Amino acid sequence: MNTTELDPVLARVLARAFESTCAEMGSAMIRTAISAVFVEGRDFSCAVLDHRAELVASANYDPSHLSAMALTGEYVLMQYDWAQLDEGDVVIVNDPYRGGGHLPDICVIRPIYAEGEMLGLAINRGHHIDVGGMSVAGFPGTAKSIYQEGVRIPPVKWFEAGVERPQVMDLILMNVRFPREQLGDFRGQLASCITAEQRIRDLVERHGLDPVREAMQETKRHSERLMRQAISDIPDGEYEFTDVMDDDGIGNGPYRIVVGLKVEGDGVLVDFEGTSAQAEGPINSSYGNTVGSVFNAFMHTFGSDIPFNHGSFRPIGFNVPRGSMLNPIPPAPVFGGVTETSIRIIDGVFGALAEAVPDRVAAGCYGTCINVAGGGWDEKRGRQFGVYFFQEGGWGGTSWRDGWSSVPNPTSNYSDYPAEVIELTMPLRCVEFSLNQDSAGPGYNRGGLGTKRVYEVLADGCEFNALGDRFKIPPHGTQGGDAGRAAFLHMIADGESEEHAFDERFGLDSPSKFAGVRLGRHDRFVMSTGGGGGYGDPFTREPERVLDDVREGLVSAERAADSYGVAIVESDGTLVVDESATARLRSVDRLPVTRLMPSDYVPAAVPSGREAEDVRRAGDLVRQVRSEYAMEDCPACGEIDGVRLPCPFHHPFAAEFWEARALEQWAARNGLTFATRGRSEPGRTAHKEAA
Amino acid sequence: MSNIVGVDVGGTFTDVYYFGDDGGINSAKSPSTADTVTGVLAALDQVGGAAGVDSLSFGSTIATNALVQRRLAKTGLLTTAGFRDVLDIRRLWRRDLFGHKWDRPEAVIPRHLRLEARGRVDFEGVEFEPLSEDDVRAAAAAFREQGVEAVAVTFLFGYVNPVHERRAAEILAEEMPDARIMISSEVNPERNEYERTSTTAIAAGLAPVIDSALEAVERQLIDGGLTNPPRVMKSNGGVMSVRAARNKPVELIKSGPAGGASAGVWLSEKLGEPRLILIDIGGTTADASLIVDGRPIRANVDMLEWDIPVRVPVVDIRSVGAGGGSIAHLDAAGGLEVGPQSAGAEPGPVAYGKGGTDPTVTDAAIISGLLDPDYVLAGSFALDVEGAERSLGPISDALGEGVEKTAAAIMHVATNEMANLIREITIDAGLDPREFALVAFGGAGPLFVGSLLEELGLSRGYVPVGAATLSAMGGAFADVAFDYVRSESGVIGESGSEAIEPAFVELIAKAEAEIEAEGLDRAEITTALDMRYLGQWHEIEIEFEPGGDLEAAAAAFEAEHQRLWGHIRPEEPIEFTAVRARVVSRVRKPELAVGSEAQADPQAKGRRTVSFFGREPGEVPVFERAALPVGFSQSGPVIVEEAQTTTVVPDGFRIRIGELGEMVVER
Repeated sequence: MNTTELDPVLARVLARAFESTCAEMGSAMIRTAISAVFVEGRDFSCAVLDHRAELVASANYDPSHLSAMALTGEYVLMQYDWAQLDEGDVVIVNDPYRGGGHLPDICVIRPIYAEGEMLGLAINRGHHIDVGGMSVAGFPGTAKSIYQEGVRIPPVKWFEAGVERPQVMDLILMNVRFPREQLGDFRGQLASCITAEQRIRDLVERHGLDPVREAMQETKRHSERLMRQAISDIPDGEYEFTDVMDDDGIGNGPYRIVVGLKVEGDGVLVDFEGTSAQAEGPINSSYGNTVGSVFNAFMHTFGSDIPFNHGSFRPIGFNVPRGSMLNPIPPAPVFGGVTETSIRIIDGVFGALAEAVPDRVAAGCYGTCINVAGGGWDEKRGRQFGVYFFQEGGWGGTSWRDGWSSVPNPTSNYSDYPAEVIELTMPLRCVEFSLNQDSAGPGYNRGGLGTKRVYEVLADGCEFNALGDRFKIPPHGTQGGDAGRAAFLHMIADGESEEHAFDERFGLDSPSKFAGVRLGRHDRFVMSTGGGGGYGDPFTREPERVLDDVREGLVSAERAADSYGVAIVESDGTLVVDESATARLRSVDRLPVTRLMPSDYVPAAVPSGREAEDVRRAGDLVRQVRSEYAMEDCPACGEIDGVRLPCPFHHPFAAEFWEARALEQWAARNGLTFATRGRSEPGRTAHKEAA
Repeated sequence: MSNIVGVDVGGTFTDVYYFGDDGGINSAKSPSTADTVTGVLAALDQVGGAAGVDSLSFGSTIATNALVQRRLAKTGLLTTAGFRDVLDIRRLWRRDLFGHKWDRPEAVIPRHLRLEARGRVDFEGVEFEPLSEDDVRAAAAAFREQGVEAVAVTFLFGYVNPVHERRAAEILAEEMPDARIMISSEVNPERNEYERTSTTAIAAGLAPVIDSALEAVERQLIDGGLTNPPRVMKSNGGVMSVRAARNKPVELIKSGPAGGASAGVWLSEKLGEPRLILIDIGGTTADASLIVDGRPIRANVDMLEWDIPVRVPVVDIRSVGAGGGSIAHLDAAGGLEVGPQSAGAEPGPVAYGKGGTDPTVTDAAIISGLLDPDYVLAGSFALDVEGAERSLGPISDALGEGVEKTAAAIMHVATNEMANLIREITIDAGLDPREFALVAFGGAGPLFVGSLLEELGLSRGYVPVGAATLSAMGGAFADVAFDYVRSESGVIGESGSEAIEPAFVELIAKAEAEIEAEGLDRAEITTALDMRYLGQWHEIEIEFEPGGDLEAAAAAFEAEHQRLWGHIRPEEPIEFTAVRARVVSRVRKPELAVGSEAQADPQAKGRRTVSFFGREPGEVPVFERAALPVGFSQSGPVIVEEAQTTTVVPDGFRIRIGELGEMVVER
């Protein structure tokens, strides 16, 4: 290994250059993609990984993609082996059980070559408007297996050494509903990767190969130091919090997520023991998504000044019980894991941290994207249309200020679709976009407010699917703060004025999760998100601040009296605080909050039947290979710069989520035939030697 | 007579640059005044007054300061029923990917002043619900009651069909005759309701502030004998008349700093430095911009704060609230902070003795010895040094340091604010700041040149002649320039392209009328199309002459798409989405003949004790700039004083006087 001394200033300059490379990947994507989800929603992420597939830098787009994306890169390297990734190759993958999140999040990956050597991977993950499966534009709230959720793509090469393999794209586009737009989006992803490779090559040309390579390592070490420092500041100990998912769309629930944190020195073990068993419906979170969500929560709490990369992951270890809803066994459906369950994992980590470092965390956030998807025939424009709305809301209050109103939840960060873009491109009319009065959880610092968005359908017989949560059990307050208001999804039929929940109107199992509902012309739907939980006792909030909120219409006078104990009255045409009435209201004791008991939840369960058999076989395979070969001697493990790259059997946690069949297949293809067919002489395959 | 004058109205000082027709330059400086015009006239008087001046261009931070400090007119918003919260919801996204630290900026207009009216047109401009005039009148009554001075009117799809906006404006004008009414279809006729609403709201909030200031400036200058109407520096780097500026208040955003960029282009050429970081440090803010390959970096939108956009063509200048008048204070946790609050021109720094009580960067510079209290503004008024020292007392007590060290720490914090800004615009764009040279200007710029070079690891910087008033000089180098855009769409080779020609005719007519109204007779008009692949969301601007070949434009688009994004899409149709026209009328530029009162062997005129941050206090020689000849060199620490600014260079650097009289600061 080259041990060039890296000038510390150059290291910082290059670290920022990696970040700006990712930002440029994003702008290339925005400028060349087609769909609203990509371009206006910015539901994508870009990153540069090093040659070990470890995250080096990423751009300010979508946190949930980012953390899981790193695992996808590792998987691709395990699957293909770095030596099989040639200059000009482009790989596509979306499998949630291979480090992915859910099927519409499709990764495009291109090795970065400079001066003939592979420096790393350019990777982006974008949310495609459709990925096949049972519902238009995805989010089948009632899916019972991943097969109903869409097409599952293992790592496949779209380009080989710079030459397109159009059949690969044809196969994918044959299985999605909006091939023209989605091809444009794939091209945006491609342009983004090419941009990254070019920028990194520019850096190599200016500064040399070794300094760039070393700066990638230093960038990660820098973040690791910062994260370890941050974790050292948490008092050692064990902390726990339980958060809840309403239901699984099929009538089961509530589900619980138990987050245990064991903090010791500058490291932490995150233990999900006690979490409910995997769900029948699509609220499971893949291993990659679960791990990514935890990284995300730590970054939110400690890391706003820590560059987000693999280094910041190193101090955090995991126990995610196999067969739980946070590490399900395929073919369990996982569509809602990315947008719903992940928020709950993050709020759960916040909740546990609140015991240890109450001044650092926020109360619970609005906790759902709602995820309304659907489509139909757009008569006006003479084409099929697809729509996917995901919604912002209020964040929890913190020790130092009220929560933010109307921003994306912590799993995401995006721009909304302007009403003028929605109406221009789809048969929908925007009726109202407004702040939800009284949605914020009361507290000394209240939560932020949620948003209400009302749309009118201007086409006949549109399909309508939803996959939300936090409709029943609202986001938690902390340190004496109250819960925020829950979300809802309503419809108003053409010619009527009354709002109805979808489950009432259509006789569904869940108000927040359904598939294949039909809405007609001039029917309206109302997407309403809740507010964040409050921080601290609302009865201690200064009456003047409550008055301001009432004047601005954020809190009603009734709510000011009930929740804050502040009497607001009108005097000479302006609103004022009635101090004596306020004193009276505030002298009354507040009612205790009712809580769910453990017995109310779907219990934790050990896998059985087919799932148990798969786990047993996978475990046996891993044990077999590991007992046969130490990682240093394993012929299937790779090596770069004297550093061993693990095969799936020696990877520290690949065995946590690889299926037995995939392991067997991999072993067979890579010459580890002893594992399935008894002992034979292991050796690398021909392509490896050729490379 | 054909004398040219450039003026820069900053937050603290008004600077004047006078170019005689003999090539001579004269400059002056006077404190800015709240009414703008008094300060302009006072500065102008120092160089002979307005009489006989042929052409005068001025940049003004009126708009920028009003926005940074949120001192806008009391403004109401009237918008489509159901959409008043667009200004709160914005485009949603958080500044930071992770973390709760960020304080989301307040909405430009508070919720109780955002009112709604029923009435809708669809995306094709067809009305499907008539405008409720009752709602408009009710809103007007509510605005009147609240004492609203300006109203922004933004209705959904107002840019496609402005009929409701125009009618609402008529009613509002009847009901509120004293209020300024701005409608989105005139201010920013572009898609996306939030950006358009934000831009219009800011235009409305600025209009009354700008009206009163500019109207007086124009009248009094003309009364004072100015031959032609004055021009105002625009955000796009050009200039326009006061008449035009009052109609387009948002184009005054960054008017002052844009002059600096214009001067930067000139310096880049003269110094043979294709890459320059321009840092303009005035009373209220430090403004940084870049010259790359001799051209300023431009943008089409200016973000006032995170997700608070103004859509206007701008020279890409970023600001941080750290200038000479910025107030040093302690945050809740006892941390030392500088800005963004500023004492401005009035009351100004404590040492100015005009009633200021909060310690500013200028006060810190005096106490730490960087500035000579007897020399500031060439001794035009006596400074209250004791007052300045007293004002540092609370911070000094909290830090447990003497006032000199406290003052040096304030200078260091201010330097860091500026250095971070420069890192943001270079490193975040993948540019290595060390490949740039620094040009430090504005009244306080030269004060920071040494510490910034040190902090950023740059090898050299420049303090040009007249550094304190460089932005004013830039105004004299800028051309009259207007940009026009109109949404117009069609697919190349299919329908819609017939609409291009009438659209160009309309824009060109507008441009010609504007140029005529400006009193100019010659101008170059360039035209362009925004093009993209069908359904793409972002366009590439392609030059296109009316009557030209659309297929050729499509080919040019594909070539540019290939260059920018590395691929083309042969099977996709190409569409255009907007037609653009830009009109530029070249103004006569001054010629510079740099004179010199230099001495053959200049000696330090004195020495004083200076506290640099992180170093022990020491004696530093002080030179008079006018005495330094071309080729003069002196190693740091050294201080060079001139009438309007002071250059401070620590040890480790040396100064050298270059051929243009510029001071080079190098390692």
